[in-house]
Order: sequence, then C-alpha cells, then structure tokens
Amino acid sequence: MNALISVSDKTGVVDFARALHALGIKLISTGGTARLLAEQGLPVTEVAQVTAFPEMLDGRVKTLHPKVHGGLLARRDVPEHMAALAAQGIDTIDLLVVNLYPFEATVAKAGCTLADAIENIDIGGPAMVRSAAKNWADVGVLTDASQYPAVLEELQANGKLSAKLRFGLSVAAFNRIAQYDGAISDYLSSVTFEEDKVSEAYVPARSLFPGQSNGQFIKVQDLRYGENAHQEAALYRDLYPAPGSLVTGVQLQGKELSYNNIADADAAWECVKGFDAPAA
Amino acid sequence: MIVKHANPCGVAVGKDALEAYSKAFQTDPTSAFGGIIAFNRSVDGAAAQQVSKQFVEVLMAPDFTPEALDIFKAKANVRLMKIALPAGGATAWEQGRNAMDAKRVGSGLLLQTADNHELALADLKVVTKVQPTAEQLQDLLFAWKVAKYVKSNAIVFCANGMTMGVGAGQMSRLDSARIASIKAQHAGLSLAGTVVASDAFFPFRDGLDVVVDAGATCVIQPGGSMRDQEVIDAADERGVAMVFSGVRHFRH
Repeated sequence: MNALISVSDKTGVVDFARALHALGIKLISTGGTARLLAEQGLPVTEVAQVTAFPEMLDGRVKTLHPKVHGGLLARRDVPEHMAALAAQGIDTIDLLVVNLYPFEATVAKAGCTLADAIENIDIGGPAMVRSAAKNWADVGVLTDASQYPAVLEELQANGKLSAKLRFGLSVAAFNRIAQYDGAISDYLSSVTFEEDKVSEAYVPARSLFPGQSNGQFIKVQDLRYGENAHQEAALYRDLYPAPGSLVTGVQLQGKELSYNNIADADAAWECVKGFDAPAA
Repeated sequence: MIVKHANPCGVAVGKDALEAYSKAFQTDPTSAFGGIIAFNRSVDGAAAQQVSKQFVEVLMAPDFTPEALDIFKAKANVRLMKIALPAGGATAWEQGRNAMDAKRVGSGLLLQTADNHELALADLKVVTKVQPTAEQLQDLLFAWKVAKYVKSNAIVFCANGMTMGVGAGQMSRLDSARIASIKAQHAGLSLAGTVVASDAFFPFRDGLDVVVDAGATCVIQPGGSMRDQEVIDAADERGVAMVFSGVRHFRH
C-alpha cells in the first residue's frame, strides 16, 4: 500500500506517518512535508522521484503528473486499468493525505495583496483530492487531521479501509473542495479590479457583497418538520459559528427543538444578549 | 393584492382587473397608501386610472396595455414590473415557486420545503350541524388562500371574493381577530354574514366566539386542537358553520 502525504497544516502528520510506516505502508511526499518526515527519521520517497520529473515553477507543478493521477484514478477492479499502469510503470496510490494552501486565512489578513491571494490558490492539492475522492472505491482521501485516528484504527484492525469510511472521506473531501473554491470565488468576485494599480504590492478594494454569494452551511440536525407539519426542515450552522450565537447553544433537557422554537429562540436570544442589565 | 410590510391589506377577485382592484382597495384604504400592488391579469386603462388615484410604490402585472402605460407615464415614480405568469405544472419550478425556503438564525440557517400547499374543495371537512352554502365554500377557499400569506397569527374575514378585515402578526389569535374587526369598522365594512379563516386552530372556544361576535357565520380553520370538540360545540351553539382544512399555515 502506498500513501502520498502533502500537507500545508502539519498538525499530527508526523505521528500519523509513523503509524502508517509501522503498518508497512510506503510513504511518498512533497517539499516541506517530505523534509519534515525525513528529519523525523521516516523513510520517504520524494514525489519528484516517483514522477521522474523535477518540481518546477516555484512548486506550481509538482504532483500534476500521470504517475500521480494515474495511481489515484485507476480502477483496481478493471484489468485494463491495471495493465495500463503496469505498462507505464505506475504504482497505485491508495491513501492520499492532503490539506490545501491556506487561502482562507491568507485573504482574511488585512492588507492581503492580490498576488499573495493568487499564489495561495492551491492547484495540485485539489486536483489530487478530486482524483482520489472520485475513486473512493479504491482510495482513502484525508483532507483534515481530525480524520487520522479513524483511518488508523481501521488500518490497524483490518489492514484496509471499509467502503463506508472511504465513501465518507470522499464526501468530506468534495465538501472541503467546495468550501475552498467557494472562498476563492467569494474573494475574487468581491475584488474591485483597478488595472492601473496592478503590481506585486496591489491590495485591491473589496465589495462587502461579492459578485457571487457562496453560502457554506453544515447540517446540525434534521427537524421533525418546518413552520408547519406539511413542510420538511433541517437546521444548518455556519462553517465558523460566532461565539455566543444561537447555534453554539447546548440543549440540556426537553423534547427536540422545533423549527418554530428555533426561529423564536433566535429573536429572544438576540434581544436579551443586547442588554447589560439582567434581562429576560 | 395590496401589500404593506409583507402583509396583505386587501385582496379580491372580480370579473376584471378594475373590479378586483376596487374591491381589494376597499378593505383598508388607509393602509393601502404607499402599498405594493400585484395583478394576475393585464392592467388595462380602466384599472390603471383607478390605481393611479392612490399612492403606490410598486405595481406588478403579467402585462400592461398601452393605455395603462400612458397613464403611468405621468407618474414616473411608480415602479412598474412586468412578470410573466408561470406556465404551471406539478413542480414548484413549473409553478414559478421556490422549492426551498431559508431563514437566517444566529450563525445558522433554517432550511425548509416551501409552504406550497394548495387546499382543494374536497379537502374540506364540515364539522358542524350547519353546512356551508356553495357560495360560502368558495369564500372559505378564497379566505384560506389569503390567510396563507398573512403573518401569524392570521385572521381573515371575507365576503364575495373580497377581504373584509385582516388581522395579522399578533402574538394572540384573539387580538388578531379583534384587530381584523376594528379594521373592518374603520373601513366602514360590515362583517355580518362573512366567512373567516384562521391560519391555525383555535385552542379554546374564545377565539371562535370573538369571530362570531364580529359577524362571521362560517369558519375555516385547520382543526387538530385537543379541544376541537369544545370549539365544534361552540360553533353549533352559535349556529354557525365550521370546516376543518387539516392544514396549518403559520408564516413568520
């Protein structure tokens, strides 16, 4: 089994890679991740060695190669696919561990230049994630450090990942890509482009209302019904809920909250929170 | 339909655009000032002439005749909007409606399927000894259609395809009924012999008593209260007809 690891957020990645290595899984990696794993004494193959093609264009092109994408996308159950890999000397990649350049954090900083934002649009990462997530039947794709324990648990217990876990990881991967692309679209379509100002130091003016609004909401729970019994409903939360907001509340007892309970609770909570004196 | 602050202040059906508008305007001439008006028929010269007597913010219709457009040329501030009626069909999309409805709450979003329920005559269940007349049944369906677009608690009195009193957005259903009645009085309309729609059930008989005291002789409400029998008995005692729709239309 081969794992390709290329992460921007390196939280927990050394321990995870060490555990994979202990299971006999071969580690392939890129740039900073490869250096970190090697420093920790882990045997790691540089992706440039796999592709036999040097990393180029300041790292813009390193994993965009048939040896990587072929290894991710080949269907193991289709003999022609496996024969094609063999003919080209391509090894399968069975685990992909990728998280993306911090685009959201970059553009959230005051004074972010257009050039810096553009440089933080990850291309190779999402491309690999999409390949792996599409081929969920054969590949496990990890896009967040919080997924490491569940993956290790199954690998250690069964030597492979269950279809249920692989499918769940695939869904999570496409959700993450949608968030990422949504953030890029939000940023770029909010830019008031002024051609005469373009330079490396150009910090564009941005509209409060981007040209396309990309709401990203995570389901908290299905509700019994909506405003009325013949309507179906569910509650979602923001990707990053504000501290002290309604959705951060914890229900201590009682029946499940209804749609109308939540709508009215919002009005009540917003109002009392605005008073300094004891209010009800 | 004439709307103010997202609530109808007059809705009517008639033989043409002029009659429908004239009836709708009578419901609440005071509140209609600065209203948003929608027609489901082309606005002709006669209807335009009548509408142009009131201050209107927005006027919507599937079309306007050249005479109507001429009349509004003199009132450049009136926002005219031409919107084609949907072709119709089984899906919300074909009906030109949203399939989903969203409401923002603190760092969250409530999503629900939109309230696209349409009540048919066959859905009505008469629960009283007195039966509604054919004309009352038509008015009940009309009142129910309007009540669906009134903020809860909604009480809507109607007669002859026209709203006679609209009580909206009160925390108490009794107060909505009282307000509908007061508004009818202010407009010089009698509620005697009207039908009335309540967007949710009467939890006690007092709600029914208020609408019957106001003059209603026929009532439509969802039913489904623990005390339905108390309310049915009250309707029988007062000698009015009451039907259950089986569906609630809360709107917030």
